[in-house]
Amino acid sequence: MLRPLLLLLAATVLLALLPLVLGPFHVRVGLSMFLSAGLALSWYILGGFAAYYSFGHTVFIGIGAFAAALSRDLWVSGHWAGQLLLGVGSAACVSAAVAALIAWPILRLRGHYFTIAMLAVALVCAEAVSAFPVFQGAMGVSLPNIAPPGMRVERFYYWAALALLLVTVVIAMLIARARLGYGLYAIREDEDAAMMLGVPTTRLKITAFIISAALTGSFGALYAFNLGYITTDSVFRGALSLEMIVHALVGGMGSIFGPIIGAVAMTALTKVALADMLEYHLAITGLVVIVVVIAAPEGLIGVVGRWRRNRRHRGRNP
Amino acid sequence: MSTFIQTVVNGVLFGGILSIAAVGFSLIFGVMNVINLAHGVFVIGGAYAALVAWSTLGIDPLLALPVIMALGYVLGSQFQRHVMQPAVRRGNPVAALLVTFGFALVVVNLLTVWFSSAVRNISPSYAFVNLRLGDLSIDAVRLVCFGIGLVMIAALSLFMRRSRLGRVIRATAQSELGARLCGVDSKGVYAATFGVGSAFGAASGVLIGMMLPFTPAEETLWTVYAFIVVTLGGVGSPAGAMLGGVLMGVAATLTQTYLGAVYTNMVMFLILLLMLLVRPHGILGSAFRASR
Amino acid sequence: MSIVLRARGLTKRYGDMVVVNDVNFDVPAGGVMSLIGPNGAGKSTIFNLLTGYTPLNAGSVEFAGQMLNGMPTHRIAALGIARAFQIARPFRGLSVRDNVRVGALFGRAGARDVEASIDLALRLANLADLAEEPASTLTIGQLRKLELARAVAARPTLLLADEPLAGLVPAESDEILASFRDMVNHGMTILLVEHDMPAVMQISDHVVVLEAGAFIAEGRPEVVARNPRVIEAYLGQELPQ
Repeated sequence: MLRPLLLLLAATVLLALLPLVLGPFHVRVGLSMFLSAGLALSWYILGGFAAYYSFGHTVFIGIGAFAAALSRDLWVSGHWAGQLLLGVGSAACVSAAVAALIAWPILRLRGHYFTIAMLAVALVCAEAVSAFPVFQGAMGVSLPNIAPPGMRVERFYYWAALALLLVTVVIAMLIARARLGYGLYAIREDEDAAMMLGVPTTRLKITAFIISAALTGSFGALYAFNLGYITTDSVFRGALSLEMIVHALVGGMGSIFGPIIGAVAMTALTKVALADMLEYHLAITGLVVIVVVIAAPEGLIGVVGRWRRNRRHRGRNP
Repeated sequence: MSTFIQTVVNGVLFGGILSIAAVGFSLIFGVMNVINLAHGVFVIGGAYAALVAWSTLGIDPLLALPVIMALGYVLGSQFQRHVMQPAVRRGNPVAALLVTFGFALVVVNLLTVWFSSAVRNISPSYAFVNLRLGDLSIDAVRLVCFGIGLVMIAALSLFMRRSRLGRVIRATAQSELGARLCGVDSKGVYAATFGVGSAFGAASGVLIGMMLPFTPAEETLWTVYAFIVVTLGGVGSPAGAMLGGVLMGVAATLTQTYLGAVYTNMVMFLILLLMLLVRPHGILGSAFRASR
Repeated sequence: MSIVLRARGLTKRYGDMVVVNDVNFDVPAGGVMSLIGPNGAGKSTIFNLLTGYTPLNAGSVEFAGQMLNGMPTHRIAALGIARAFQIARPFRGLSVRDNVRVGALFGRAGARDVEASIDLALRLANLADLAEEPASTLTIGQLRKLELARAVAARPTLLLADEPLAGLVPAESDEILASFRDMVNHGMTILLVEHDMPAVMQISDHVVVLEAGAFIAEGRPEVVARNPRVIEAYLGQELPQ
């Protein structure tokens, strides 16, 4: 565990220094990459470890965003660090609470029933946030700028997102090596066999679900702060759910770094390489999904792994 | 009281449309155990095709209906054969969900680019006629569409029970291996089933385009509506789609009248969630498999 | 002789069909006890009842000082009963070692001394040289050993082995039987369901015979083998004199 942690720290330091040499556009692309990567990895904690594919995870982005916005009175006066921590913290807590509430009934469902049920949860919540005036979803809520005076706004959010991503990666690494992780793998491979081996499947699934929700909500809060003004439609978006899944698939579902690699690759593709085809963003994402599922089901990590194995073989038999 | 009856009548009429919008989805789900997340784009696509026929070519949508159904069949069956089958072979349990979702994204994007996200509708010459029956007011277009929908569902039911292809589809649905051992080309059956489901989806789109305003982004809604109908009424059978559709339609209009239009979708989605948790195979159960 | 598990009045009905009919037995600590009987005798169902996978219609199971009635499967496993299945259910995406690790982490010992439990289990099941291989590449004989290793890694007091020798060649069977002897030496009690009579005679200290869900005989293997009721159950009639 020590060596990967040191590498991680080194990478983080390097990434943290980049805004000092990059222009605002690239800093914003980086910010976007960190948000997408963090969201994809948060989704992966349930979808990758336990293979419970949630098609409605945007619900936690929305809940986190609105929790941060509506808890304004808690943090609006104070040091920017406190504002960030409290805003993100309330988002994490509310998301975790909602997840805890629905976990037991929802996680009893298997396979595509779970998938669609999460989609239904997202739809219900989005409608509720719009319909009930207390949430101000239809009219929208604004969030004050919490970047410290003197610091460029995009740099502040870049660093905040990087820090949250680092926290998420460390949590994922800890889970992967712990009893929880192995239990989730067992659930992914054969849930009934796992149960008979003594794995407390319900408890572990609920734990993973709550952790995933809290992390997703935290990124939702950052997303909201970055947007500055949120409505139901801007944060409870089906496209966001799909992006989390696509990023994890594209990168590779076999490793916690898959979602990160996939998010970075897809962001680079859509925001940089194909930036002037923005109106085709959805279609590109859809095509990528189809191609990856058919041609590269193990994602980029799998493709690289296969390529390296082939090279080794060819080396042995010239 | 008359408000209540009017609401229920409206609900039944709306429900008929929901039924035909769902029957194709139900067939695909029942036979292939696939949740077709591209269903909504066939519905919306049908509406846009009817729009093109009507506004550009001057053809009444009901006349264009058979052609649009045929187009839907071809597109659906080819997509199933050339995209879904390879995807599912890879073994990922959500392959079909992902690939249909991806297809939906592509089509929605293209429709938005071609037609813009402006709200459209199709208003043929008989569009704003209202029939009166005592205290009740019935929209002529809705009644005609309801009638057509009923005929089509009955036709599908007959087809599934009496025709050779219908029998083959049912056999494959109950036991694919058994059917193959009897010489059935199961891959062809699946492609055909998906085609039939898509054709009915497109047909419902033509009818919906005549009754309601539509935009490309609504496709997700129609997929979810179809799913609600199926989880309410039952998987795989036209009768289940009919039952679920009418129940859902009445629930929708009742919510609209007595709670407020802004709550309609929320109530619908809550019904979906509850049914998934309690009885996901619907009131009538699955037509092809033992329901859990 | 202490008793590891006490089963009283075990009964299981599916509709009108009584699959297990008021069965009683004690499993003595240390050693191998075998449950035998013709097909349909209810042996696998009894395993399901003991592990809590199937609820009892009547009867009780006492183990480790507790009544197991109504306890969820994973809690029974954590108490110290482990099961190795006839149809192997490996975690195909994991290596052999990680498969066994799951057994160790969620068994009686929990997360203590996990590596030691894994190593012991691999050694007892004769799988140490395959530890890093993905479970998807194993042969049926190796998969059986993996089932046993996963169960043993949980450091159970009682191991339920469901037809572990089915479909194996004699060499593979001998390996499994030798593993059982090792496990017993390490303090485990084994409850075995098996059809391979020579193996049962060879390995068992005690045998219980069932037929059509009911108990018909028990005792030392040689004694049971000569019991006319048992012979009749297997062959359908008494052997001609």
